[in-house]
Amino acid sequence: MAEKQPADIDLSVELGGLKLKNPVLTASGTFGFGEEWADFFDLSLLGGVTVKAVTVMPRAGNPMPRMVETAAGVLNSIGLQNPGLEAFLAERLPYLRRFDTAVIVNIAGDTLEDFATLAARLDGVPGISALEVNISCPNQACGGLEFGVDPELTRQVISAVRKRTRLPVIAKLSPNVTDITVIARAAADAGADILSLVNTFVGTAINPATRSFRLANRTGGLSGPCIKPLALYMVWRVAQAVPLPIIGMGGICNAGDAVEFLLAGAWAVATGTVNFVNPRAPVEIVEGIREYLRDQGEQRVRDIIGTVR
Amino acid sequence: MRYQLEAPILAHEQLAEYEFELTLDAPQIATGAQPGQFVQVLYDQTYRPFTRRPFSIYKPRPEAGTFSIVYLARGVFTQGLRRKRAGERLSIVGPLGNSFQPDPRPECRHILVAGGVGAPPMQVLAERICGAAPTVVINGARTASLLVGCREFAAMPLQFIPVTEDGSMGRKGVVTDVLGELLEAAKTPLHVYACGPTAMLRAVGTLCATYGVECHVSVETVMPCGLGVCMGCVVRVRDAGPAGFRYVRSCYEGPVFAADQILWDEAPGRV
Repeated sequence: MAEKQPADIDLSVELGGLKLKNPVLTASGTFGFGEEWADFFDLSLLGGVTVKAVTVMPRAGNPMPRMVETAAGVLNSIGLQNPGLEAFLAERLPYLRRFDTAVIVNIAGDTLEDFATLAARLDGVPGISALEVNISCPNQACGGLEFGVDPELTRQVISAVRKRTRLPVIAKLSPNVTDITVIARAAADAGADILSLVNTFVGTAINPATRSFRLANRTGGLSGPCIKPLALYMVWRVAQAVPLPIIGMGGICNAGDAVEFLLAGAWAVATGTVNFVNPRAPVEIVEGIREYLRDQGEQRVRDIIGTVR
Repeated sequence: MRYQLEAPILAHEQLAEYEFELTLDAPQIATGAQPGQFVQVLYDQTYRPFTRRPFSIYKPRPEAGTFSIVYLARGVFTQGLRRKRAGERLSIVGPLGNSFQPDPRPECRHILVAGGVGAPPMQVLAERICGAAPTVVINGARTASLLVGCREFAAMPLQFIPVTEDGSMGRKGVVTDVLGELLEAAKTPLHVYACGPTAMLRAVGTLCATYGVECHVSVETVMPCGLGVCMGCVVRVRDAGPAGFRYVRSCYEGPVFAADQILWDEAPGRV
């Protein structure tokens, strides 16, 4: 694959201190910790890998059923099942270090202290390129209200992370808000370097035969191609409103989708649910962006970013 | 090694009223496939259906480079799959998951319990062990037309016991009726292997536990990715930690588990 790539197209981007060889990342929670992908392609072909959310302590996750297919998408309520911070560092991160790709660690917690602990412990660990702060977690101190739906809570959690790390800080925004630009500004004011959007949309599904929710947790996060127009709209709006680079995601399935996000103002994109269906999607999208640029007579991907206003 | 392939369809036959067998040309998968392993299938790229579905690998033939899947065309996905014709291609990823390991004890008698479309992995396992060790296959379904693989099992050097709930073929009853008798009469060590609906697996596992007989089952769950990353197919198993359980991926650590490790109260199953 590498030998086919002509040198005349420059796919590299630099956003908020994060340097990527190409603008294609994997979205947290849809790519495990990378090891599961060993047979499908060389991870060095990617701009970066965003690992599954890591919490301070291991989490068992939610009861089953956790995932249900919907029209052109899936609803999930996994419950942040992960091996915990120390097991991540000891058992998962060493594998990812072997590849020439950016490693972004998604961090999640119930309290500000959780986020502070994660940021402090991960600061200075070799092989980590950036932290992505999952502000869609429920805040236990505020009756389970998501950090990311309140500008003040967003400010507090991003600030707590910012103070404890020298790594680029990515705020991953929830779309479940009235005006996402308000939250985006709050994250920017608190010191975020990059914004990633969107996380999943809250939704549910009911089984008429059993008259019960299809998910054990009743509600879940909707992802997949059904959310792409919503996500693209939010990326475009935030790009107009807030002067921070954006990682765009939400329903991207192919290079055409990815290019739409770049044109709308994203500096990089992430593939999410499509990874479940087409394991090779991320590398196909890298190649597809290159072909698009060639067809358009463009030399550098950064020249097309945000050109549709 | 796992492969993502567009495999040519060599044959697509109707076996019974709703039952179909689809044969694929996929040497990479036919060569390495182990009993219990599966492939993730997608037949359309229109997002409807959006995710792949798992199907057990059946009749892997390394010399011919082929294998089959068997399915009941009862749901939206399988009714769409039914429209695929020989000569077209099918998108598959595999082989996926762990596999049944034949019990190595030389004096061991192997009892394979297959329920409905749970028969394919039992057929692959039977081919591996039936010439070398005493083997029994109990193949059960609601009615004769839903029994899978009878002709194949009957042609192998093993004891084949078909069972139907309506008595339309073989013994009338359920697989655990026959299994209970075999466990009761056993004079040599036994190992039970099972694949089928969750209720059957639970009943088989419970019966084996009563008699202190080793039992491995292949669980049936939804598998949105099948690749080990979505965490949507997990099974609750025993754990020495404070919670007493943990969730493991049926597509990655499984689908084959020791029956006594599964906590059946939150049973794996379809949504």
